Amino acid sequence: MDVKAELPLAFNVPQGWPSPNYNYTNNQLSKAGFELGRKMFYDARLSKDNTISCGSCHQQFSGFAQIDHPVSHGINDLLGNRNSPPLFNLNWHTSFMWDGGINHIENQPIAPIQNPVEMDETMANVVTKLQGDATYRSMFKAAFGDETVNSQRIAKAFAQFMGMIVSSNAKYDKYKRGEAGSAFTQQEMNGYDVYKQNCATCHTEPLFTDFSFRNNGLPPTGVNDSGRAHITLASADLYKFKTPSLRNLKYTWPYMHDGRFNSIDQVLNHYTTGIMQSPTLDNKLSGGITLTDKQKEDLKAFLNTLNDEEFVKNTMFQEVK
Amino acid sequence: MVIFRNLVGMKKLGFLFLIVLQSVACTKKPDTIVDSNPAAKINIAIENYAGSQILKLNDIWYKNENGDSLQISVFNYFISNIKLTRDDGFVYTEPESYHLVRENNASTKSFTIVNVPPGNYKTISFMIGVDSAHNVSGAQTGDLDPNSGMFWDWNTGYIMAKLEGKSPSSSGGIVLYHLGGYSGTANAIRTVSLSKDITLPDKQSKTIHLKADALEWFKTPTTIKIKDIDVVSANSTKIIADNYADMFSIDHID
Ligand code: HEC
Ligand code: HEC
Repeated sequence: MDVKAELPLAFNVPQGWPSPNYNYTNNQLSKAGFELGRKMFYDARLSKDNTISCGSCHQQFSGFAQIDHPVSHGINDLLGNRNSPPLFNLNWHTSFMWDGGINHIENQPIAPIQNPVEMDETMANVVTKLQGDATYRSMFKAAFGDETVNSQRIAKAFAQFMGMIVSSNAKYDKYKRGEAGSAFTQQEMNGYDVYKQNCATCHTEPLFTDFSFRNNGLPPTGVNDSGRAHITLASADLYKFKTPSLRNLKYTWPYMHDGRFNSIDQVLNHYTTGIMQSPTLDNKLSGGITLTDKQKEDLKAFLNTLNDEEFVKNTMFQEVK
Repeated sequence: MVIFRNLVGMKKLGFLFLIVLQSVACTKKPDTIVDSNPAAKINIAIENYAGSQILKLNDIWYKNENGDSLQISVFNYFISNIKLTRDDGFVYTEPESYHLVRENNASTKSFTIVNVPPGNYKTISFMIGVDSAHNVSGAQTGDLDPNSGMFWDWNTGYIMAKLEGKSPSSSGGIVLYHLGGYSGTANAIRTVSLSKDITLPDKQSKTIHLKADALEWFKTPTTIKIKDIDVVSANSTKIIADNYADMFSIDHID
């Protein structure tokens, strides 16, 4: 089939992590494919009026989320209904979007490209635009063996770039690997215990999510986003959202599917005093979570060990100007 | 799958063998090599109907079973996983069998299946729609390219079949039947099996002329009132898909 000209990149599973859900079996990784995906990710020509790129809403310094925007901000200043989630460790995801409507990493890019309030372009036009550009044609050739541009190749190159965005070098990871200088303080240790008792069922190690859909008791807002039920149409799924990771919270605020909280303190106050009872509220949270002020501080210290500075600064993921 | 892979492997071996023969003998022309794969061809030619008349998009008012008037402007569907069963029990499965049929594009209404072993065939079967595996395994190409307008990007999956048009019986004036879903109750995939004796001699081709009646979407087992279903939702998917399951018939073979 396709001939790969470039040396393959390796996709490394961090020590102690489960095997990823997506492992490039049908999409041979290469440096050329990764670079093509990265170029497209930062290219505003993928939007209808050439103003918005994936990188507009997914910024590396905020863990590839959109900092300071409760909901996404797209073409013509249109606002979406949901908060741009951070992008890292995507190859472990079992579904995409807050409601899990997208079942495969390769099917992800077409959704924002064609969404009227995000990039408002058609995939067919993107193919035409890229096919008309000599630089892209040579990059497609380097990645896939010939200059053909099609939606499948676009999707596969995106998956090569996005999937390679792995965050596994936080203090927590180094501590787990027993690396020098990464010992936890007493406070971080205490916080780790608080986390294990109260958060780990849903925000499970080592990815800090089990990717399940749950209702964590957020009172619905005027938008009345039904979450997972939007996809399954099952009343049992009302107001359930895909559990996000607790990694990199320092960079990814605001929090929750609609970006309603700006700080970890607000999140913890939600879990201790703000949970709304409803038929689909997760059992684990029906009685709320009880945390003393000291436990909150300890927990925050532990959550800080999940921030991965190397990941947000990794030049491999930056736009090449 | 395993059997299929083996067949492909065997074909490749045979091909290599022929190339060796050719370079030794240097007499056969390249097209003879292809032909000498022990295989015949089946053409599939589809004609879409509205009842007894050949379907014409727009312009013409048809009446469905319930007596509602409608014009049809879009009529598209996938045919996939074509299988041909011979009287000795052998089943031929078309590899990469995905065909998007669009009424507004004549070239999509006929296609050829090559490398079919000869014999007496009894049954042709296929799916209306795209099997679940190809709805969950990432980006596809060819007839499965999501650019076709037959793909939901916010809730991954193919639109298996689509009928659009207008009707005075619809409160909004429009008829919008987009049938998608590959599992559970909103599963729009239906399997069709049609029987007819087809004698396929070696190295020859036969054409199966299929008829697809768009008005079947509105009848058997359930008579559809357009005033009740003008836009198909997940709840009405099963009803319409059950109806279109029997829209195909074999018109003739030649
Ligand atoms: C206008 C802002 C915007 C743009 C532009 C945008 N996204 Fe997003 N992205 C979002 C929002 C908002 C969500 C969550 C949507 C939802 O859950 O319904 C999201 C979700 C995602 C997810 C799923 C993450 C998860 O955890 O499930 C991925 C992957 C992604 N986007 C990649 C991309 C790519 C690739 C592009 C460019 C082709 C892109 N995004 C362009 C705002 C944007
Ligand atoms: C029953 C499962 C469950 C438990 C237990 C749980 N969470 Fe969550 N958490 C969720 C879900 C689901 C969301 C997403 C909710 C939404 O956006 O609608 C979430 C969201 C969050 C977010 C926002 C992340 C982001 O990127 O937006 C933070 C922070 C968070 N939880 C922290 C915690 C902490 C700390 C604990 C323990 C004290 C905890 N959670 C316990 C299920 C849970």
